[in-house]
Amino acid sequence: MSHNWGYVIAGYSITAATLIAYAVSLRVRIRRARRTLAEEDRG
Amino acid sequence: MAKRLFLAATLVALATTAVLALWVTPPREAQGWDAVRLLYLHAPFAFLTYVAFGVTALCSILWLVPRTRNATWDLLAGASAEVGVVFTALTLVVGSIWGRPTWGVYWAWDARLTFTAILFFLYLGYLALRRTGATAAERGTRCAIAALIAFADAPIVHFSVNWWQTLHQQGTVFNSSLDVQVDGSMALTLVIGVLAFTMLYAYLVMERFQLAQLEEGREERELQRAIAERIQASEVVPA
Repeated sequence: MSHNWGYVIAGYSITAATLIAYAVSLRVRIRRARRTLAEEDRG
Repeated sequence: MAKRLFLAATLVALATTAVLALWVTPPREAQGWDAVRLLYLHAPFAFLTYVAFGVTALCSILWLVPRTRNATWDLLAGASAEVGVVFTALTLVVGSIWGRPTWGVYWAWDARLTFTAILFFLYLGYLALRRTGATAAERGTRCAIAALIAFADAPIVHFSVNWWQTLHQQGTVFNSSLDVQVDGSMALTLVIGVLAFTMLYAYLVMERFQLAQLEEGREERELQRAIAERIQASEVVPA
């Protein structure tokens, strides 16, 4: 018998997806900002 | 290198929390059987909401006091607020999912839930204010005042379960009688969960702060370039 595992799976999945997406977006934006500054330095 | 080691330790702590929360701790009938496993996400997120906005408030005070004013405090306040908004959103979403099997509804206009939603929107407004055009000093002062006004909602959120009759339960650990309502493997999982998500909060703030510094440097360069172009243009004398 299911004891509300669907809610547990939904909660953990949404949490994982949100936190991974946020952490990855920060990393991508940091890399992009570094690249832009480096390109500007090269002229 | 140190940051990578810290990230690895954070991931180990998060994995330990997940294993304990999903396989070791027992289900509880009064809290929605297995849905009680959402406690190990919801409680740390709610705790980190206070921590994140508390750090923003503290940095805002340090910015407003002329003797301690430094651009670092303004950038750190913004970084902590953004991560805090993510954790507040997760507190609301995970809490709503847990509410359905225990209360029968995803949402109720209960004092705790309503004031938490207000807190979320107040800090969304704060983040929008950070994007408005102004000099760094003007923006810093404006945002610091807004952060302190928004933080006034945090104690209301915390004490709402004592001040009003609410659907939301009283604090499991930080209740009015300081009587801890959880023990055994549940308490251990909660402690490890709070530690793991606090480490994640610290990592995300470090990342967001680094990004803010890079963006600030770029804005500064663009401003310098615009000034240089303006000076060059004014030096060109028409024939």
